[in-house]
Amino acid sequence: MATAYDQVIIGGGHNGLTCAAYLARAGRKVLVLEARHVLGGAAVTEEVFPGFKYSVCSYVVSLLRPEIIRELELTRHGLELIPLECSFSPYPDGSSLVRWPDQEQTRREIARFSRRDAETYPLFGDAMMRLARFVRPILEMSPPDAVDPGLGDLLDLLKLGRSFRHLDPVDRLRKIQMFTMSAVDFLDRWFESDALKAPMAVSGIIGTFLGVRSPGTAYVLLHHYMGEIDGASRSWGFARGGTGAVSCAIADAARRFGAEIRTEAPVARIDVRNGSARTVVLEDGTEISARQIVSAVDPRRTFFGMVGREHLDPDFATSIDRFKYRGSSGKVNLALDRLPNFTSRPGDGPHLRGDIAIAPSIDALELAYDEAKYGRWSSRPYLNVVIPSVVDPSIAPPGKHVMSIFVQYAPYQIEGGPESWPQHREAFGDTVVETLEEYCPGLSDSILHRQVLTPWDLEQEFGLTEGNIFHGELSLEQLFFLRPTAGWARYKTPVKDLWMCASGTHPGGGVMGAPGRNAARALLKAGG
Amino acid sequence: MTEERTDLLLVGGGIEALAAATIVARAGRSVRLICSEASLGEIDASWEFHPGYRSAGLRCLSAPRPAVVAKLRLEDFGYRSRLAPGADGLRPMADPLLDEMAPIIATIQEFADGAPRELIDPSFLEMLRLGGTVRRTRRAMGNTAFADALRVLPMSIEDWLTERFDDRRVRADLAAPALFGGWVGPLSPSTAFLWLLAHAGGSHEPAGGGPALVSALERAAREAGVTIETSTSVDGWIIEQGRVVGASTDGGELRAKQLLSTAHPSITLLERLGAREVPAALREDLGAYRSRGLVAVMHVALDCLVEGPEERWIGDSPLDWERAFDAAKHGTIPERPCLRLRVASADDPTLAPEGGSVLKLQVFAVPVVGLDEADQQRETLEARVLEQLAQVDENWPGAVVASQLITPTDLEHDHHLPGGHLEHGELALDQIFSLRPCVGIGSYRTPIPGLWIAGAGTHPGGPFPGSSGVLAAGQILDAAF
Repeated sequence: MATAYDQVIIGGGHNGLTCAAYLARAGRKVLVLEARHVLGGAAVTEEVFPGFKYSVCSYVVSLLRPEIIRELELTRHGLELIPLECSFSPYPDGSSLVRWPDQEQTRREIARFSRRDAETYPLFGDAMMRLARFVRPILEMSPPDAVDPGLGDLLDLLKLGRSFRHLDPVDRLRKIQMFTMSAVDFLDRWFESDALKAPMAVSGIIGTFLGVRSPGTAYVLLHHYMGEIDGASRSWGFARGGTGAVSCAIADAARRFGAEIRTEAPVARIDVRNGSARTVVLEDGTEISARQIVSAVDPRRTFFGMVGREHLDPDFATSIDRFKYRGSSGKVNLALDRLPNFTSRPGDGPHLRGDIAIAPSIDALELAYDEAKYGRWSSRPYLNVVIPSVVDPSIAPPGKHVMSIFVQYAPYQIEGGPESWPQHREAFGDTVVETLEEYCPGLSDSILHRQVLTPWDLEQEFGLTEGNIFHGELSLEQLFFLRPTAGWARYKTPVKDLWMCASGTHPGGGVMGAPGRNAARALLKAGG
Repeated sequence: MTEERTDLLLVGGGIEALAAATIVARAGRSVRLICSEASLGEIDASWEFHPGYRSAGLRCLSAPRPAVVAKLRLEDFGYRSRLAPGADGLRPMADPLLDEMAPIIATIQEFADGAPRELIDPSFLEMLRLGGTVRRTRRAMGNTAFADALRVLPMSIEDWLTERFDDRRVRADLAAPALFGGWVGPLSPSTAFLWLLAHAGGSHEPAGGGPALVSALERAAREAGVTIETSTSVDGWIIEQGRVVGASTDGGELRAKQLLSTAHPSITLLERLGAREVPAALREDLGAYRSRGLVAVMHVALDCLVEGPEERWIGDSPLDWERAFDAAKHGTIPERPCLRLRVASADDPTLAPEGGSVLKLQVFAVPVVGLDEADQQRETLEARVLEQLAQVDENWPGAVVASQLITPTDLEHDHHLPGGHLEHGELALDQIFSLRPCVGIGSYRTPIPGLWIAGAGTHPGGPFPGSSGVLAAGQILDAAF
């Protein structure tokens, strides 16, 4: 059978594009199909209101693998990362804490809340870096096959075991604790001040439907330190031009290697013939064949939306059914006619050049989670706010600003069902603005435009099942060799010639690019 | 003074203390056991809470492991086990899950039956053994089921059960046993593991409950020649040249070659020692040992006869249990407390007079409060529990003769349980096996020479009554004499 392409990739998000770039770089003839008019998936910049360019979904470049930047020469393709300068947390009582890159400055800030914590903070950072160093190689590997391990898998596990043994026993214990303890319990062992612990603990819950006191959330604290060890000017930052610039740079790289990329080419289904998936059918009826199909959409949409249950082994189908999404967050993007004025740190200043966490206390965060469990959005949600226009004037008209607000918790399964979200959209947006207004009065008056994205919108508009920003919850039972399901965590699927390459596979979400790169390598290794 | 000749001084009058004392005494050592209460059994004792009505202990114990029963020859001393009543309708639903997970449960039991295994810094030999355990479990389950079990362990019990059952009521009843050892609600991750841990205790319980097990153990201890002194409170350990040589009590100094305490780990290692005696790292680890109680226990005397079912879970849906946990998490008591209801007098009719009954209720979820709020909390809680009971049987509230409610705050202040936790500390993935209560003292030996520790706050903890006492005694006999 004559096939036009070596690989067709469904979905032009950053992982699909990364995978395409690596395949094209290896000489494969590759086609990327993106449903929307713009590339990037959830890593996208859009001019929603004239002059204001929003990083509509993903708003910071977290954990983008430095080897991808290097190997795909993304800098040459226009990628410019602007590091987040600090983390600013205002509190309801008018106090605030800013954590700076400069250790001494941070120590002084923390000391205002607790002297002991100020001394402990750098030690905590050191310990986290050691542990992050242990985790880093895991990000780059294909997870072992837990169901039918071969010799290679055992060797991989042995290697992991050895590097675990190279940690000193105290760190080994900490490692185990990070997988089992809650973010709060773990932080309690180090710090006493709520003002410090609350903004730190939230990194343990982003994108999961868990609270800061839920066991197992400590692990994600590590992610915050992962960027640091790569030394790539701290991988937590903005991309100049918005997060979409990352996708564009990857797309440019892919094109330079010869990949073909089409937008507004939504895929209706994957045709399985004789047990093999070699043809995609577009919504307009066009059929495109390739030697392999690589899906960069999430597992549920891939297998049930595009392949069809009838082509799947029932046990496999059940395991994909059980893969949990339950999005828990929303997004509010504001166009402002002036900078916000925080009560605790009035006026412009370097504290606005980083991320701003509205995480008033551990109890408040836990309460926000408790409300969401019963199908309501939090009345006082956790907010992660950035104002990228402060460091990147190209995304807003002169003197104006763009504010991006990540909101948790906004449960997909809301009372009345997810399809009732559109009725609540503006009320939800009001909650967010009111919450922030408590810290920067006058904010509402400065809003020129407001875009509110509920989990429902994330699903309908961006194809994120149940609005989960990571293509499936990043909870312990859905990581590594269990992502998306045991036995099929190595990018290959049980449907012959169908592969996966996005956040629903190891190592999961964040604008990391690792799944795309790992998948391309696995596919090439398998002779693709 | 002849105390110098005592080989082992045991401080504590509960199940673990009696088990350890018996083993060591049978090995020919002189053992003296002291406890502060007037009778043995600590929280598993029975006492008259109203004239004619007796309580049935505060915990709902599983039967001791078969190896423990055999080692202590408990059946020679009147111990019998029986199938735990459970909630009858549930067994057909729980059994398939238990069957599927049987090899995992067997592995937990294998861990519980042996001395704590070094997991953090294993020797090469221990690594091989661990590898062997994994291989065996995997072979017993089959590869796919084993991989799926790895997925289930860190999950919440509600997520796991939702994959199998649509009925909320069924899920609530099935999930409940997972919630009585940790600081969790049914939506908390890792409760699937806690559920398996709870079931690793087995399907049987002591006939007559905790009090019956205590009496069998007391007989065994006395027969072994253990000297038992009740109503003796301990002020602290006596330390000479960095070594624990005895305890100072309200009856004077008691000296011994070795001392084993079954109290809560923070009492044994922090309260009864000077700060200088305990290495800083250990103090810090013990400070971080989580021991937040959530369970209150209420005994209710009724002047009517209650017939089956003997056990019931009261909480209509998993979210009801979760709401109860939410309330406690935020320091308040739930509007509608969830209950584990046992008709204690059905198991042991001597607890109540003719025509009367005793109900034992474990109440979920109740936070520790300050002493100034304790009475108010108890009063409100009692009223809410009675409201819940009226939902079960409208005649019960009218039949109440008396009741006694013991909250976690009471446990903390009156029963020497810091944090108010019935199991001497939360069960959690990082607080089990050799990590219980913390790294470095997971094998019953403390860094202070002469001082040993056992009890529910050590490996393998409350789900396996008697195990820690027996295992600690084995370690002491091997190492100290």
